[in-house]
Amino acid sequence: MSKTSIPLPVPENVGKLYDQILKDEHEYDQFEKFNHQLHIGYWDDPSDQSVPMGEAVVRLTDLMIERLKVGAGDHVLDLGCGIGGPASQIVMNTGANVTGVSISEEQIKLAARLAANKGVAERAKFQRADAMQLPFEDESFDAVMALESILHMPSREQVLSEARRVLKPGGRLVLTDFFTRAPHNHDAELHPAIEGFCRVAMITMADVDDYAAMLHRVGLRVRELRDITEQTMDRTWRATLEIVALNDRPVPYDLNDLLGVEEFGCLLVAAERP
Amino acid sequence: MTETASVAPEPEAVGELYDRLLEAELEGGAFDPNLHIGYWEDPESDLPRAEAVVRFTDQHVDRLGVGPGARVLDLGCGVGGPALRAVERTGAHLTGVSISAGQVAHANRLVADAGLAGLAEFRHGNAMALPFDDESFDAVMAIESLIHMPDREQVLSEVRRVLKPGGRLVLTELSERAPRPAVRHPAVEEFCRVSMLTLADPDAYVPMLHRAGLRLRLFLDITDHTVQRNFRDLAKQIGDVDGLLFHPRDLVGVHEVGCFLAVADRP
Repeated sequence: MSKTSIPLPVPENVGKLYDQILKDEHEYDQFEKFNHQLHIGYWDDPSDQSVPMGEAVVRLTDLMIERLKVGAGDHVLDLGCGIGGPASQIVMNTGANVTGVSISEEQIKLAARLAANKGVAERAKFQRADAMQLPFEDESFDAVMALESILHMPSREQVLSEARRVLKPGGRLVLTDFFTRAPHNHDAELHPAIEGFCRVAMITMADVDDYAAMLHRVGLRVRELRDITEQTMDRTWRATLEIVALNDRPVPYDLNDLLGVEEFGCLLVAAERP
Repeated sequence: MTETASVAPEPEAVGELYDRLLEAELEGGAFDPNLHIGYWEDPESDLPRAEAVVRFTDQHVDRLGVGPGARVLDLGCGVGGPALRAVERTGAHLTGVSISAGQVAHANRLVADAGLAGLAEFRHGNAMALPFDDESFDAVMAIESLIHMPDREQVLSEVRRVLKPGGRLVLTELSERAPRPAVRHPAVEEFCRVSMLTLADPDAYVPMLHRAGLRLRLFLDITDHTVQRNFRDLAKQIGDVDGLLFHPRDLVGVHEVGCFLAVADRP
């Protein structure tokens, strides 16, 4: 962890933040354009300008789904499900059933409505819940996915511990997280652009040095830690800036500040419950 | 954070161990240019071991990110099979280093026989103090060799030193595996002692790469594709031999030993 003290996210506030984002954005067609996926995109070749953000977000979800190792009849928990785009994608790609949870009431409502529109409401259910204390029985899921959501939660270790508890033995956990890339002095302050982003977006940065150990402390076993910064971040900021430019209202944070900040990393993590 | 209960390997002794292994193989007529484990995409498949060991090499070579003209260091090169494979597959120039003088001599003969002299060379050296200038390689591979070295962090620092900025390290390790048992299985202890190796600690690995001035790109557990299938195959191959200090069959079904692949860059 860095010396800079970013306040820990408060779940209620994160919920309200996303409620507000939905209210601000629903009149625009951008969620449609992003296939109802509120996360970063993945470009196999980040210099390929022919791949739009809407395709890149689906690609990242595909990379996650491949690693879940689930099939028809399995039950997947989507932790921090947004408005359900990834959950529908899991249903359609694998035939598994999905339960999505979010701390944002508005997201849950919209996710359920969109799933019904897509005809997957039977297989994709949504409910409001706090990932720090999941309202599910032990060993009730075959896999857990957390797409860019753990960074909004006040204790990664507690969330991972909950994920482990609700996973069946042999089940996979696949997540993405933001982290400070090396070379990084743990005693140094965070890059001001990263610090500003963390405050406005209500996130904290993970410590990649501790990730494997943290997974092991909660009884999971690391399978993969992959730095996907180059395939994701820069293009995502640029695509988001284009959208922001279409909206005629003030922004709380200028994403231009993050362009070229190499320390802002994105990590793909896979683990299993032994 | 104990790396292992067993003693740190002594480079000279490791060199002699591999000299003796090579002599025994040559006498027995069972010479194998690849001394590392095999990689099976599906560990139940009937892919022969000879092909699986080449796939294991390719797991490294295909991640080096090099092409013709690049200079690659193979740290712990054995008798040169993987280096020749890397030459064939990438067109890069390979320099192999081993602590076993016997292996180096043999590898140089192998490269001459293959008609690839000029594209690969091998020399005797200690990975703890590499006989190369700073920033002299575009990539480094270390196939299951850090297990034999007394101080991983020192080796990684040396790798960082000889890599050019932006250069890449690809390595595989045998490792401890979570959940770590309170007491190690005796067969694991015996395996480490007889083979003069220590198991890497996955919890400590990423910070160690970073302390050495490298940047993690990938940590990938490949245990399912390697460890148990190798022990099973080796056990079968060796059969009922008495008097061995350690028999691979003792590790079949012991899931405490893992294998991971790591990729890092010099920023």
